[in-house]
Amino acid sequence: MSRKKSSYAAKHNSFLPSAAELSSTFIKENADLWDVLRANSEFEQKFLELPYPRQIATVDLISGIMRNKVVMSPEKLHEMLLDMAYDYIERIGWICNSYYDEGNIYYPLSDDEKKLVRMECYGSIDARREHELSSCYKFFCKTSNRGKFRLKDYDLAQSPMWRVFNQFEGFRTIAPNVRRYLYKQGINPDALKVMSVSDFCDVIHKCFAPTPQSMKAIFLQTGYKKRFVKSFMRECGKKLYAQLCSSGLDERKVASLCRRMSKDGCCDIGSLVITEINFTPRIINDLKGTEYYNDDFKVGDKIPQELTDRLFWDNKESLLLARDENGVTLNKDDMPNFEVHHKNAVKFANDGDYLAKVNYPTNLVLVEREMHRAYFHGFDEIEEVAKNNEMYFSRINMCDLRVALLNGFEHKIYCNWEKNTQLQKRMKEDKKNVVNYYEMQMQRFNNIPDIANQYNIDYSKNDLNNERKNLLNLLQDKINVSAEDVQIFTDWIEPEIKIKKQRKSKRRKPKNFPTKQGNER
Amino acid sequence: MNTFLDEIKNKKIAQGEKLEAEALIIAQKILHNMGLGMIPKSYAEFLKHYNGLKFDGSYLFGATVDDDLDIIDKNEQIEKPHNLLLLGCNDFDLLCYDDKSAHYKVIDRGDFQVTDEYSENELDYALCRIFEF
Repeated sequence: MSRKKSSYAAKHNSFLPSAAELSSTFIKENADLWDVLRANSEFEQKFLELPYPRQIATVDLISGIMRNKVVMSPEKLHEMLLDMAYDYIERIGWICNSYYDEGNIYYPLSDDEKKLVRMECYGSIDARREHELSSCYKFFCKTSNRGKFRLKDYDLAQSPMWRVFNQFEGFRTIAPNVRRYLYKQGINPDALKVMSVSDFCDVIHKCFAPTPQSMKAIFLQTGYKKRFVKSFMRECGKKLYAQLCSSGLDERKVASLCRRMSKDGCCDIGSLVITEINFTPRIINDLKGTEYYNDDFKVGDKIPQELTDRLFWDNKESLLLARDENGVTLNKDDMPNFEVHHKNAVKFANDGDYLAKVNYPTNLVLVEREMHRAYFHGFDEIEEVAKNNEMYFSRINMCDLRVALLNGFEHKIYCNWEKNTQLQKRMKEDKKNVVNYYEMQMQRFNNIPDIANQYNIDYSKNDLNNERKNLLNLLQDKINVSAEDVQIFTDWIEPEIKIKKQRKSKRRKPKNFPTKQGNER
Repeated sequence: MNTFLDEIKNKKIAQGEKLEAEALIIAQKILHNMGLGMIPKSYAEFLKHYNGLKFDGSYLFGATVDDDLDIIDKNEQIEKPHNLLLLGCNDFDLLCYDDKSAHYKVIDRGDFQVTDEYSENELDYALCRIFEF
């Protein structure tokens, strides 16, 4: 759905005024890029000749134009400028296997589902506050009776909201821990029928927190974000090593980064310790007298991997610290800062298929940080259209799901995850466990009055109000429920939708924006 | 309950440059002029310990010359709801402060929906929520 370049713009190679002629400070600040944008037919070539930071600045400039940060008069000139920006972003997309999609349909996810995606991605969970927990759960916690119930009484499949968790492999692996915790605490198994997502989060937090006072609990030793980085290194580590070395980066930096990505699944440069690859006189000297020293160590020899690993394990990695000829530790400014990007955004994960795939390696890509910000998220929501109860948002999409790493616009590494047996197994299991969040909520709500009556729980409007927040994004037409139930949900959801609309209208174009023709959906 | 500072103490995260009173005043002034309100007291207190923080894709911004962490730059560069002061972010969320309601808000980066809200004295929860280890 890319915008067509105006024929007038195509006819004239140099249709833009010079930077000096432009009054906009936004353009003045980027005057040197103006030549690149004026190049037209040679744009790709000129763009690729730019150093990476200026490529980023060019992308920022293009998104700035598309976001109408640059307003030109007369209007015709402004339209040409917009045409040019749309054309160039399409051409940059060709370079890096991606495209600017003006209209990704957006079916909102519930807040609960978003949280689950995030938690699986990071493998961590934070402490819940008292008011986030349901009255029923709090009642069952207070009236817990250790030893009264048997482990087999805790059937998580009976819990509508656990079934929402169960869609994700990351949570399926900790299901036994959750059952054991509930059993050990002696929480009535009937609680499972009415527990909310926040209640289960509380259980998971208490299960895995290092101390009861901890604010964070790591429930997966390696979250799916880190797993992706580690899997990528397993499959393509050598390619990345070669690519970074060929870009002229000091091999010690490359080796240290690749090691960290492989071992910890972490790409963070700030906390990266760059170590030597070969023994230096200084290192041998420092090691002498320590338990790590061996008489076989010789200056110039490769430092054995086991020694590096052991020193890192013992927090003694500083013994291997890499230094330049002046004895100064290496500067990290020229190192790429990779971040993990979701190719199909979490917000678009509710696309009729199943939710768990949003954290699959096929949907993740390592991208250099500045490119992540300026390119992959720099064009988010430039277009936002609501039509026939559907919402469309613009976004940069990847054309090829095999792209696993983008180091700048040109350098890509591909990985064929489809052949990965682990992923195939995970996909199979995930597909078996798909549920509809709203139907599960409905089941839970149906259980609440019965349980509340059975145990005399003071179940009030407060609880409903808390729940309403969790149902922010409910779409009536997405579930097959009775008219009465729809009415209940509508009553809950309506005020939230109003707030949402107000928020959205605030983000619309400023008053003096020129109209962009030929771009209506 | 531990504080967020307790939680990060053992993470070997560099503290970065110290917060200078002048830098904080300048940041307050510019952010106020941008219509974003003032840096809340509790967050300013936190900045005295960590004037910005970054680790593996999670960021908390401060009054610092570090381009990755400069609160003024980030409020200009990162897409966020208008009138909210951006204090930090991770892959999924933005941590903002709403001067009007005096609440910290965790906002989905994709659709700008508020996913969590914390009062001024619940900063620890908000920081923990945004900073994933």
